[in-house]
Amino acid sequence: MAASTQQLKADVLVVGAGIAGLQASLDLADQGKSVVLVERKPSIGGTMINLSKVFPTLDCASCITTPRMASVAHHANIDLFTLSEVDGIEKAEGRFRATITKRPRYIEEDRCIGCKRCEEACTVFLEDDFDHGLGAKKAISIPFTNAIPQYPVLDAENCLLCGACAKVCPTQCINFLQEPKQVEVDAGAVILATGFELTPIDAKPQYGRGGFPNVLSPLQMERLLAPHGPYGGVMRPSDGQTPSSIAYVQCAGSRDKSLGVPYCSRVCCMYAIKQAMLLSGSLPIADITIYYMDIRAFGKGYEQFYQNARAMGVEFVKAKVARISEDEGHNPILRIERQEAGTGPEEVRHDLVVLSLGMVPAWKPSQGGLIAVEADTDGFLKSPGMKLSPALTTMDGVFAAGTATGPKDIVDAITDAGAAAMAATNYLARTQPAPARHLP
Amino acid sequence: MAIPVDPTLIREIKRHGAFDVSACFHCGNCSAVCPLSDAQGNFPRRMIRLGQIGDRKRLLDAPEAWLCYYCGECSDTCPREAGPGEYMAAVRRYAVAQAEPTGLARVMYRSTGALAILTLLFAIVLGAFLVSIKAPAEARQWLFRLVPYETVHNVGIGVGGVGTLAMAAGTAGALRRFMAGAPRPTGTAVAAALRRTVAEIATMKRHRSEAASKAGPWFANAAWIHLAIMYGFGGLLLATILDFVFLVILPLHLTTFWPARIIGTLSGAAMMVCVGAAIRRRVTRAERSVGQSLAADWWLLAFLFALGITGFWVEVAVTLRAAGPVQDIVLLIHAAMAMELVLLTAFTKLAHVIYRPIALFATYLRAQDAA
Repeated sequence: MAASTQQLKADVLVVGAGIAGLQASLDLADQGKSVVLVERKPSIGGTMINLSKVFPTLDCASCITTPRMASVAHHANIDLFTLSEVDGIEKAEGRFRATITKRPRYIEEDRCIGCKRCEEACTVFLEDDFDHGLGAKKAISIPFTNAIPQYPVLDAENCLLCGACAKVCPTQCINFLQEPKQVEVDAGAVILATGFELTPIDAKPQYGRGGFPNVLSPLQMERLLAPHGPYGGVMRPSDGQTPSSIAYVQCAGSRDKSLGVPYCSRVCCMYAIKQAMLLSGSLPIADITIYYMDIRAFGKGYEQFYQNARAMGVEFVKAKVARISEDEGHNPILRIERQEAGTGPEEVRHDLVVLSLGMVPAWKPSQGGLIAVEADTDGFLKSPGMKLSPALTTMDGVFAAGTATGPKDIVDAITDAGAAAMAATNYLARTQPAPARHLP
Repeated sequence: MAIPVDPTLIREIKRHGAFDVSACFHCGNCSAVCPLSDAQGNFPRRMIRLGQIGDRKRLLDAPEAWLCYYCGECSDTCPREAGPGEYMAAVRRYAVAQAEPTGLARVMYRSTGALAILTLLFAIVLGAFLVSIKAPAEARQWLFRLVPYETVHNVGIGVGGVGTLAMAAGTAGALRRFMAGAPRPTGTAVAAALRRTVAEIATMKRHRSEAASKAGPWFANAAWIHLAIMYGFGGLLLATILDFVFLVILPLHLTTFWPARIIGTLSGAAMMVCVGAAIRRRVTRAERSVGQSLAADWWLLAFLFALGITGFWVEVAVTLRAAGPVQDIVLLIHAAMAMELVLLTAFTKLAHVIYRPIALFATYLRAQDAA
């Protein structure tokens, strides 16, 4: 094993290639620092590349994320490892030693030309994780249209080993015997941009535990709204009908002590309003209702965005949805107390319901493995200098960017990433007087 | 109408067991998740609002607190863990304390020490009173050497009378409050509401519908336990009355196998088993709703359980014709406790046997008026 282990030396190791990790890497690399960027998924881009449009500008997410992704992939100072996991980072004498496992794609990356012939030849259909189960993909496939790098990944667990892909591959790059590779990185500083996951859709028993086909997660709705989404339009998963009444259940996975997520996830009000606006555009006659506890439109231009949605006819109802059930036609039924009406609880039927799920950390310090930094009470990384030095973690030389320290929107995640990059260069200037040169 | 805001009310209710209710931010989850809340009785959020703004009159005039059987669903799902179910229980305790003029209930709810001391004091006074009335020596019979048989019955009548008066006052007050502002009902409406109330009390259908979602055997189900305790308690009451009536009208020596006594024995057994099951639920904290027991909750269960044990002791002693000082003391304790329970009905948790039926009746009656 030791013979095949790749050795690298870099100024900064960045863990996670979502928008925060990308931004931090670019900010460092543009200053001449060498960066090793590690992403556990097969493509960089994180959650942002999964979105349809972003609030409050309604920019197309793909259009503004892809150039960043490409800049990172082509940057001379950035070494990118995708489908790779950081197994552990040890600190010694002011520097960091990381061991990374690069999982096999079962293709030779240096020979693959991204022609997708293998994907066309493959006969096995699987649930598409990029479309959150709404669409299908092949057992060997490029993760999504604008994935970077444009290499297919073979799903070894579901592959029939029929060899159809290998037969059509023009460069004979498919290698069923590929093994994981070990990489060791010696870095002067570390940036953790480990990101978030949605609160599990089955966390709240009163919301059907994810068993209702027409109750969606917000990222599923993002995919339905995306121009290259699974259905090419907004349809109900149960029967393909165009919904005429869509409801949003706010605080479905945050501000709820009974779920162990007492904090506000910050973005759910805004993404629900954004999706409601996009839905009004794509389904002009549909009624859209947002059931909320209170609307938190906190950023620049956000309150105006909310007022615009109201003016566009999106209905806002102050009520916490207590239960969701469905009728025999899979129409979700919400049980609410319409407080402004002063009557008893009522049940409201909709065609499609989106649960505005919150953010939980994708990597919790309490689960161990990566690096021995401390967790906060909310499970995210602890920020010892929360007010004046937001990029700090509890370990000197290790900095946090984006949602690793708590829920943030894209604007804040990018600002945060810049701060982490700056803090990392300051640390390097302090500890490594002569900048380490990048070793290929 | 101007509503005076009174911030002291919520503090007062919190001292009756609603420790976390200040965390409530009125999302409305509790009222929507409640299996019993409807247009006729919309709770618990509205009740919390009334408590928070300090609208004492509207809070106490509302029958809603008594429509809640405390399944705990609202507390389990409350995003703020504000304990709306515990709040409803606290409002019931507060309402009991407010409905009686002596201030006894208020003291007993707010202080465990006072509850213990007052309970003991009452028992001692009643016991001493019973012992002090000595019958002529020749009238003293086996097992009744400490306290004569007639004394128990005569004092019992007196205590029953006082207890009934207190309960009647509570009933009248509750009816007046719950029906405040409603138009004068017709006779047929009253009859219909009465029928529905009796049907609900006899079957506890609402309570069972609420507890239906909870899996487990009957003895772990709050609704069945409650129903059985109620029937056991009612059966014992019936047996006591029958016993007394037959004794006064027909000077018979009543054996254990007299029908009235069989009813009493069966009812007592049912009550004991189910009080035991209820205690087990509280000890094991089977659900959230029984996880936060107050002294007042334990008091009623402990009282019923002790009454059951001493009652059966006496029953066995009668059947076996066993005599001795221990039997005499057990009988004395049993008689004193039974009387104390009747005397204190309107002052303790047991007061719900008055207020819940009246609240149901008022709600049904108002629903008909509205329709």
